[in-house]
Amino acid sequence: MTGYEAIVIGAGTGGLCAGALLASAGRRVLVLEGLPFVGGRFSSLDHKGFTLTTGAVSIEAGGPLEEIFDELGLAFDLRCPEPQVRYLIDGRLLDLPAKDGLGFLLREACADPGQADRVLKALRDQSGDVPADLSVADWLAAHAPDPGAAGIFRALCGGIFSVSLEEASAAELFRMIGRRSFRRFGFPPGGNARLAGALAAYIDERGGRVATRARAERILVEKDRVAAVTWREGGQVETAACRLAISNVGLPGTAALAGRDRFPDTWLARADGMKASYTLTVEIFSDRPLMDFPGVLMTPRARRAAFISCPTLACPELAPPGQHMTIVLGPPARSEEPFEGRSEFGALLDDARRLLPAFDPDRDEFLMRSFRKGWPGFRARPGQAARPESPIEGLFLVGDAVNPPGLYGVGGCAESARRAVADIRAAGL
Amino acid sequence: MNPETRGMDEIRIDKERCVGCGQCVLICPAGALSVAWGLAEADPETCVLCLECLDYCPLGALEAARA
Repeated sequence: MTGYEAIVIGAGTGGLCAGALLASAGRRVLVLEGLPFVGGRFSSLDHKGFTLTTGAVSIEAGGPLEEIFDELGLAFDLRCPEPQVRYLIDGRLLDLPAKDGLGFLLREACADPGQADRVLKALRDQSGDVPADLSVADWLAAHAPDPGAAGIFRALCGGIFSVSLEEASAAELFRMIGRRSFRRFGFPPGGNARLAGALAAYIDERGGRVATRARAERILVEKDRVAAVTWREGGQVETAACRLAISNVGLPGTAALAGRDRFPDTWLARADGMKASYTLTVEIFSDRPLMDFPGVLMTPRARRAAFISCPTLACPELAPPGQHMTIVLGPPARSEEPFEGRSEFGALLDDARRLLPAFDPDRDEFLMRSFRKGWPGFRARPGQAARPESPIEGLFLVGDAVNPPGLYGVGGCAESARRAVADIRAAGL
Repeated sequence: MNPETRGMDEIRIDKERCVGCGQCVLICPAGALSVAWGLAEADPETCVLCLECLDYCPLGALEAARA
């Protein structure tokens, strides 16, 4: 039985970052990935010459992920469009001023400027002890029921948290605004797969191993400590001893691997009750650009779309020469089953037609993709991520089920990995 | 044809497991898979039973079966 110090289960952003940070600290690491590629929802696949994301659309610049790349000495190849964001309100394209962007937007969007001022005052006055279950929709209704203000927050919550106003936590929105996270973003010209692949190569180069098509089957626990992991690879069942297991497969997945009877009822209730954020996308392939702005166009007046983006304007490498790919993205009305695919995608397609006059659904190929249930936009809704502790010594959780408050997407996953590695060090493991 | 598919003649999609992420569509070399309204669909006429889609599905929603 080959031994590793740490076995990482799942090569998503959290798993790869944790594996690379441990490898950098001289640990012998094995990463097990069930899919044929690394990166999970932070990867990309080639389709007819276009590079399509497996989930993450825009990548935060200057956040925890880039910091980890810097720490490891890896190139973080990201192209940041300028200006980053524009808002489309009633046919007007609005650039944000350098200061008080939210105030500017609310004044532009609200029919009654008094309502904009009321929202801004309520934002300034909120003391931080906001009830955890207060939704942004309820908070807004209490202060300014202006549909213009609701539109701005709908696009923000949809674009950043991938949830509707009714499902977005007000406390988390305030935390995000206060923390000023996700200030800059860009698109990787080599696709997400190249960034994820750089982390995997780093682990390989430092004596570790990243195995794809290798599905973990059990985390073996002895005396409440991680002892080994078994997995299936190439038709064989393999086992390796380890002292550390880092799980990047969500809470229920982790419990299933280690045995549900090893987890307290409160932990399992949290795991089973966790609600995901769903994301819907329409990706349009065209022989001309459907918009002329290389950043993210926020769409507060749309029914489902939170934003539209054409990454091939900043990164023509993502498409065959002269071709373009436009992404229309938003959460459904409810991130829950049963998912009403016809009406939800119907609304998103209506947005695409209305907001992109150059889009011709009869001529341009397009794909409707949804990220939900076990392969969602985010495993936890904003403010509802779980604590990363497990009752088993040597077992740590990373990824978007346990992302630290105020951080989202790949940045939150990267930070969860950094925290897990710090916890491992602090525990003397 | 993948040797494992002897006797099998179509890809079946479990509608409970499929979420419509489209990964199977992106990698299908024959263009036999499509995704719309939140679910993937396979066209048995076009499918070459290479079974790559089975590996690329993150939720194990695809299987090779007898028609």
